[in-house]
Amino acid sequence: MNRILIVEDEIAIVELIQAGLAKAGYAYEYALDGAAAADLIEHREYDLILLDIMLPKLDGYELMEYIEPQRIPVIFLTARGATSDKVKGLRMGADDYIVKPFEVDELLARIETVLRRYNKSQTQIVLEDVTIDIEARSVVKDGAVIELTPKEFDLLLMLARNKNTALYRETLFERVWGEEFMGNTRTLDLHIQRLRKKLSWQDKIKTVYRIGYKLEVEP
Amino acid sequence: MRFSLKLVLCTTVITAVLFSICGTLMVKENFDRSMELAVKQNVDQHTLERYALESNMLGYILGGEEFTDEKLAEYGYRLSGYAGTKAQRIAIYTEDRQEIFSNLPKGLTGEAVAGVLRTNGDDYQLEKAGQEIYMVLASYLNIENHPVYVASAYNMTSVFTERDRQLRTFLVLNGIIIAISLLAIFLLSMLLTAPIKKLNTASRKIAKGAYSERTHIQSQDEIGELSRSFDQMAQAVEDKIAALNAALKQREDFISSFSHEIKTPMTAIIGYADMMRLTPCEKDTQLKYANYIYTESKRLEELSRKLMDLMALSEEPAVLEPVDTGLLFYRLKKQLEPALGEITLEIEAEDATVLAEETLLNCLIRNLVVNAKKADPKDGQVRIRGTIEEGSYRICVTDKGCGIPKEKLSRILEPFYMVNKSRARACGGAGLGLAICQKIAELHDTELEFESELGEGTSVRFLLKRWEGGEA
Repeated sequence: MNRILIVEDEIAIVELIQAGLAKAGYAYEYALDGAAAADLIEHREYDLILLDIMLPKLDGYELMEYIEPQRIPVIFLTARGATSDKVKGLRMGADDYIVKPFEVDELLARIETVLRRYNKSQTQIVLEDVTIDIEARSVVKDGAVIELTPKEFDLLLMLARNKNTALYRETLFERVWGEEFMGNTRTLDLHIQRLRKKLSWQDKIKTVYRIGYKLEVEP
Repeated sequence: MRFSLKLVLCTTVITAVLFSICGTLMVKENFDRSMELAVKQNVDQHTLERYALESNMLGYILGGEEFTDEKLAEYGYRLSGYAGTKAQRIAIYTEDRQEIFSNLPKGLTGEAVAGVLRTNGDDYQLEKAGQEIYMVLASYLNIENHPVYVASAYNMTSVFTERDRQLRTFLVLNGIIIAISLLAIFLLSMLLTAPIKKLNTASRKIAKGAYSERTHIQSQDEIGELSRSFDQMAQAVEDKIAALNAALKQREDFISSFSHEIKTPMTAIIGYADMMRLTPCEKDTQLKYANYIYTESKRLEELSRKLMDLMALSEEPAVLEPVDTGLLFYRLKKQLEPALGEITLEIEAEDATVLAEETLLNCLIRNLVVNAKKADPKDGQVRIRGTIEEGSYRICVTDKGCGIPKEKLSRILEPFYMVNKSRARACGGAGLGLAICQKIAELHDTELEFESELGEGTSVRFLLKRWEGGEA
């Protein structure tokens, strides 16, 4: 399990990120100011640090100078969106730069990418007899490759990442198709049906009444 | 063309022309004088020769001898021999201009002689014979009915050679003087244009961005004046640029802080709302998320309200009117008491009439009181004092709260600056209150003075102008 340190002075944002990280299965800790973060970094090991720039006591840039020699991947998470700030952050050795306001899904995807770059992340999700390779975008069931369209793959990934959680139909559609839900769930329903058939998961991808769908697998 | 070169050329040309005119005039004057002298001498000499010839011939006639051309020629010969080494050049002609005797120089043509023969000794002509220049004079004589013409020629070459010598000397002198003046003016122009060069270099440097460049030329002439004006201008430009840069920096800081202040609650609101709509969640989780969304939205709302206030304050100039302090503090107390809760507001104020915009002044004091309350006063009191001073009225808001660290006092007026961020957040602050107070103070032409001791409390003072127009 990857350990992530959140350095952010707003408790509301910290809790938001925590909720996202917990869902994605990461271990995490947080620091509300730069000095506390430096303490934590000194005493513990982390796979990745999410770093705000405007922090009390020690700011993000100062902290970055401290982190850099330890070669821990860093993602800046900040309200400063000017190109010069981004360039500065990336030049200092950050692996990515996310500007607030961000969405939790985007944050998780970027975390995954960075971890993968450092070979710290699993590139596969194994659900019972099905293996999903995120990088190769392939699905194997009982040793046989299952052919999926790109949308079907994205949909499966979304369900797999939120396994055993009921997902609203509208949101699911938005996340996979990237466009606003217009009230027609037919496309989504059709894709779900095809997924069930291709994976023989009729009993696992469940329809949740008045909500949407849920992938039920053994935890 | 360079200014120094122009100066050198102009002065040299003027010097050369003036000097040449003067020199030429002087040489001419000299020449004319010697010429006049020579002419007078020669005319006298000619007259003498004429009389000598006349009297000699009359002598012959009176002695009973016959007047013959041979005698004339003989006398002419004698006359020309008198001068010894230097022969007299004379000629004698008959009435019909037949030459009787002549020892005129060979080169002389008859022209000049013929020309002067008509004038009877009053006029003369100059003529060149070989290298020599001669002056030719002639007279008509009637000796006892024997008319003859006598012509004399005098060598004038020395007068002309003297003139030429003078001219040559003058030319050499002229050349030397022009050379000297050229050198002197060149040096002078270098000296004169040096400050101009300096000015030019300085202005080029300034144009390239070195705004602190100055000429420092101290001379008392026009160039010195120009340099001082230039330095003043450069100073003004430098100040202006510094002010512009400071304003730009302030603006950038403001925007950067503003975007931070606005993006943080937005991230939370979007994030929590998004989580709630992805998946149904537990009742207490849902409540927690909804709470975050609510408080962060409130923060945004507070921020936008304060920002509007600040912007409105920056736009309009305040109209100051007489305000009765008794009424002002009465209203303040009434407004503030419900909001202060357990904190008591103690007002000790002398009655006076001040010049202020009441709503803004009210807002300023209210902000200060709310800040004092947030400092969590130990004795549960916030004090307002109003004292009359000479020509002005001092208002002082004091608390015995947590105080402000010394190193942070200088920054508290900056928009979005918070001494203790998490604490300010908890009280719903946006970091704009004192920035607004400062703006209001500026509109009243006064300044906020802070005095604070960490852990002991804070006191903020400012002065208002008293109204002195009689009854309020």
